[in-house]
Amino acid sequence: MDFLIANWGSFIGVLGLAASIGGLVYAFLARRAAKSAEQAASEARHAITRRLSLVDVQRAVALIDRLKDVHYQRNWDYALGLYAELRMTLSEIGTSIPENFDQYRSLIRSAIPQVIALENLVRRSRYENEDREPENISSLDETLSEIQENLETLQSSMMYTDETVSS
Amino acid sequence: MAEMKDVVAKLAELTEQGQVRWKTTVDKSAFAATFGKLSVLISAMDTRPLSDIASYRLSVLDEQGNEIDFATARWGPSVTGVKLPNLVPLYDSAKRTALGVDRRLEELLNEMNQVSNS
Repeated sequence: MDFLIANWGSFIGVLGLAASIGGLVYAFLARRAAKSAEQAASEARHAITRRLSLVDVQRAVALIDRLKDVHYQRNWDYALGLYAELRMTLSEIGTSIPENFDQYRSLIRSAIPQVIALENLVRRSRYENEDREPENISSLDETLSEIQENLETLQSSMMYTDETVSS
Repeated sequence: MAEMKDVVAKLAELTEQGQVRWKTTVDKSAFAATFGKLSVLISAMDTRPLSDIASYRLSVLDEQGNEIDFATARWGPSVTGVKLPNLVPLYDSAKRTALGVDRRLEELLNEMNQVSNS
């Protein structure tokens, strides 16, 4: 007891040191937990963006398939509405595409003036040439197929990344 | 304030330097190039049959393909006072770039040189 009374200052010092170390360990662990939570939130955000973009890519691919059918049916007025929808969808993809798929962004964006040219060609044939059909309909489908091919490559890359991330 | 004549001049300059990737479109008389979110589409427009006047149009398209501005020029022996005279040579340069005319002519010359040397 005498020893305790004589050295109380040292004991308090030791206790203080232990408390400081405990505090440091606690702060370190808390920081690590916060970082992990932040990383998990960021990964979840990226996964959601990827899924949303993937839905848009799948919608654009389906729209192109629909357009090819509509070309085959010679339903040009309906096709004009679908071209506009396709442009909007491509624009969405161009904006929301995740950063790690940047190489596709310019490909998708450069498809938009291609669709406009297609649209202009059909519109001119219909409204300026007395309801005539556009010449060389197969070239319309060829343009759409090129866009579709790029979209499908993007789609597989995104699906592959999704599988890699989730496994 | 940026104007279409500035856009035409800059496009002409960059095209001459080979820095614009003009692409063919489904419309044989229209060529497109993309710069970030925006695109340009240059086309030779239909003229009346037997007319010696050609019309050219340069459209600036936003990220959804909506036309946000455009410039036009009519060209022909009987046309005077063309507003944007450099739109016509820009169309020709865009066409040559998109179709790879220079490269193909060079290929042709090489082939012909080989024939004449053999």
